[in-house]
Amino acid sequence: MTDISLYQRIPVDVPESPPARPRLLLIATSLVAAAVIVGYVGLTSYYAQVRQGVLSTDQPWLPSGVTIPLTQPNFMLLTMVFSAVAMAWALSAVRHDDRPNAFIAFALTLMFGFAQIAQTAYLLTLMRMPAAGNPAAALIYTMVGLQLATMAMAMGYVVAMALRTLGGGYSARDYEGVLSATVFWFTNVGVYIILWYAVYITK
Amino acid sequence: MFTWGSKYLFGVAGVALLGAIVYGLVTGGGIVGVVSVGYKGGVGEHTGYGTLLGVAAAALGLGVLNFITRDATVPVAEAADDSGGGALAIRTPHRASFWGPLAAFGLACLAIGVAVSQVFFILGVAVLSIVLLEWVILAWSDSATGDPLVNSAIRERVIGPLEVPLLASLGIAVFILGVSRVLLAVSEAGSVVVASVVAAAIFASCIALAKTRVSRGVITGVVALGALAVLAGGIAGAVVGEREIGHHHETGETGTQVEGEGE
Repeated sequence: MTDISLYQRIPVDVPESPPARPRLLLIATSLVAAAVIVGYVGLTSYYAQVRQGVLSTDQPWLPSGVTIPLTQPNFMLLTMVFSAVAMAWALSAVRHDDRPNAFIAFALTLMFGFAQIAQTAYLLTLMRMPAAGNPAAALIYTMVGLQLATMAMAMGYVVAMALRTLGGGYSARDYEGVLSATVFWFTNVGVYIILWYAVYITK
Repeated sequence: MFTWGSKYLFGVAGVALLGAIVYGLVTGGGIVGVVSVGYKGGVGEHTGYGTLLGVAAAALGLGVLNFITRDATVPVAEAADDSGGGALAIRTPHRASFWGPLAAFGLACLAIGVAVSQVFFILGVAVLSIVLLEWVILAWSDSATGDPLVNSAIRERVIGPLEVPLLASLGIAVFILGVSRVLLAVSEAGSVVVASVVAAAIFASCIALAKTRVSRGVITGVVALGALAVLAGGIAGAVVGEREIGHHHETGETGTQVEGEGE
């Protein structure tokens, strides 16, 4: 083993790193993605059940004075679709060793992610729904909050994989991390689609 | 054509889907509503129906993944080389990593921040950002070469100049936020006592660590315990809330009169 200290020169003739254990990250990410989907669908089902219970008593579901506009949710859906395309572009670019395009695509994906978070914040200010005193408000905030948390995790994943790609960790030879981030990003898009339909569209 | 893993998962997806349909029908749903996922007509009891649909979707996704990756099978050529250090070799970490516990600390701050105080939320975001950066660099450097010592040196060279200022800033922020919550929560006399005890404890710990030859693990343990105590005190202080503090009022033109200092 080479004996070096912090301030010594890093030797050139060091042994190559052994190959990474393949598909470990992909399988782990897929299991997490499956858990996210099951959890979010379960929450959505509970939301639908509570909503059905309230509507069956001829009571309005949303608190009085609260409306959910459609423009922002629809634009968010469009943003998420664009982000999925950008993420697929990043994966394709890394697979073809096209690093400039890969970083443009990573940046675009993150920009769409930030845009979705900003639009959600704007939508919440438009809704002006008090969080306390109404089951609809508690459930809607829970679902929106979980979607934002999933988005934050997906963005963190993309940042990590972009940094690893920048450091030379991923290329056409090995792009498993970027593929895993893509799987999780698509899950994130799926979570938003569930939210869009269950909360914003059906109200 | 289909691998064992994908067959199993497709089976689970099919059973879950069938279960969702049957469950929806027996709990009062209509056939059209159950098949169209509630687009037209009722689906019966929503929670059970939806959860079964979620299981079906997740199993289907995992099944497709297993099918594409051939059950994550590693080709024999990749699996092992002559020295036994191929793709399936287990690589043990060269040294302990604290980023996992620190990430848990950041998540705890985030959750507490949402419930109690915005400052803890900001602290959680800061902690998680630093952990993300550090962990990524560590993961990258661990596989930079085949020599763990060289990998460690590479990590130090990349992140070392940032690490000390970042971690020092984080430590100072945690300490200031935690202790200030306690000082603001207790009475005026109590805050003097708390400040004195904390200062004395830091002083005594530093002398003890300097005068005795203790291992790095002991020092890490003492610092971790201190950080936990500060965090626990800060949370308790934030939950209790600030004591009532008097305000300074200016009266007249000739001087300043101070009213209602302390309690």
